[in-house]
Amino acid sequence: MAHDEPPAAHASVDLGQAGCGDLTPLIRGRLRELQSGQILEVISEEPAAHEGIPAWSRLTGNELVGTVREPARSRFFIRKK
Amino acid sequence: MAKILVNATHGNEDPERATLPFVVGNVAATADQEAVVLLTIEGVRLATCGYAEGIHKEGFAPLKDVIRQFLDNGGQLWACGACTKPRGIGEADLIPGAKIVTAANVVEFMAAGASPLSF
Repeated sequence: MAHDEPPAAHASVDLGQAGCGDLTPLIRGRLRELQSGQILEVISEEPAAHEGIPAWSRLTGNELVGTVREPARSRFFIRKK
Repeated sequence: MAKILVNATHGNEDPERATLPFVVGNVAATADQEAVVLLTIEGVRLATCGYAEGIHKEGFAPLKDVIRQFLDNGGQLWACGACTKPRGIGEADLIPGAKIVTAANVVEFMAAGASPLSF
């Protein structure tokens, strides 16, 4: 899904080039610091994040509420369940 | 929550094969799945104290760190009893969080619906 206006995030984390085995565990760790219903912005330079983050979202029920593609990175907005 | 069984068959003779099961297991554990890494054959050495020190495949985190993350995130580490015994490995040799199991434990876990993946 894509949004012209990304949702307001309560926290943001830049995970750089973390991928495959690192990306979603790092998201999980950061998400633990938020309250239910709050939104975490995840910034990633990893192209495969567009596959991995939605899968992790479906598995865990932490909803991916927005994605913003930029030239060299993407921003994912995840609402903690 | 699904059951995920990741089988590790290699030790330090193949650092990539030794590391990948824990990478996948950690992803499963942090995706709210019931994750077990099952060590068999030379892989059982990975559960022993100090063995993972120095195993570091380029492109991955050091194996001892990945194992620690896997366990801290709720993953279970099982070592095949039929493989530990001939190698002289007992419970006292294992890192905290690891345990020696029998084939019946593995079969029970799979009969309950665990999806297997082997490296």
